[in-house]
Amino acid sequence: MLLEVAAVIGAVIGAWLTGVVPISAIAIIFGSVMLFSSVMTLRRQEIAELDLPPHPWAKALNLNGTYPTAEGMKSYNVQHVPGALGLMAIAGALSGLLGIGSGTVKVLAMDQAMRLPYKVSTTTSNFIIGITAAVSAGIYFTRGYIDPGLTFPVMLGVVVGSFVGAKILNRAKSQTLRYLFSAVIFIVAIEMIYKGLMGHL
Amino acid sequence: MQKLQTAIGTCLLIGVLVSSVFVIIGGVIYLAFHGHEITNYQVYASEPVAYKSVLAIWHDAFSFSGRSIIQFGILLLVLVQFLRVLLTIGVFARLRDTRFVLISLFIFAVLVFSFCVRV
Repeated sequence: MLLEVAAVIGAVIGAWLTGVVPISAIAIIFGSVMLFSSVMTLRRQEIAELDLPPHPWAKALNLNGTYPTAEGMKSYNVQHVPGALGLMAIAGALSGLLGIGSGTVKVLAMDQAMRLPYKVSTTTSNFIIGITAAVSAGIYFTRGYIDPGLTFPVMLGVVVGSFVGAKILNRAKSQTLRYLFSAVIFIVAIEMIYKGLMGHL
Repeated sequence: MQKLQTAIGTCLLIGVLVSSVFVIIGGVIYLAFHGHEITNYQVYASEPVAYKSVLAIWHDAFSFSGRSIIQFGILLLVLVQFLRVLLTIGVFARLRDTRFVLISLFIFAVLVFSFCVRV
């Protein structure tokens, strides 16, 4: 929730920006950032993170917690809260601007900056993406950007896919998730850069 | 706390399913009448007024055209998020966590703002 505050502010700004900024430039920049992130995600080791002392903000706001793994509940502490807030705002702006990417940037912010365990990052991210997307959607609706003919197959496909993904999440290994995430954003990044360079989206 | 979270999750799930039902129905109608058309998405044209504001979407849904029902379903899906934030406010209020109640209220305000104001 705390992270979401920054993200929604970013989302409003981002959605406003869609009327102003040339998309191809953003697509290239964003794609490059995602490439970089794709590599960074692979390099991080899981083992080091669990025993760090919590950030004072995290303690004040009671953000530390536990999460389920195959071995049972493990606890985690939270780091770098202000930096994460900044990243969330950028994620929100990117989401409003491009319609995607909020998920990847947010997961990365939580994984790299706050040092949350990977499964917590992905599930928390999913939670707050819904809200950020709703804010962007509100603005898209009022501007007439949402075409029902286009949206309906996408939405139905996504709903089904989400169900399947969530079921699998419980049993998945963090390292496998990392590889998968890294591969997916790598592909998306290449696609973004290509389309940005081609001058259309 | 855990029970509350599970209850919220179930509500959201029902919301998603209900909105999906509308989208499916609208989609079937849309495809039945327009499935053979070749759509042109090259040129960007803003959506007709009937799909723009919440009130307009609500009114248009009763015309039973495929597209308007789909649009209504999409709107419902977004409203599920509104519901989520409201329920979260409720949870934090129960827990007497004033800071997070305020945070969640702020988020709700931004949500409402995004729908009402032409940015």
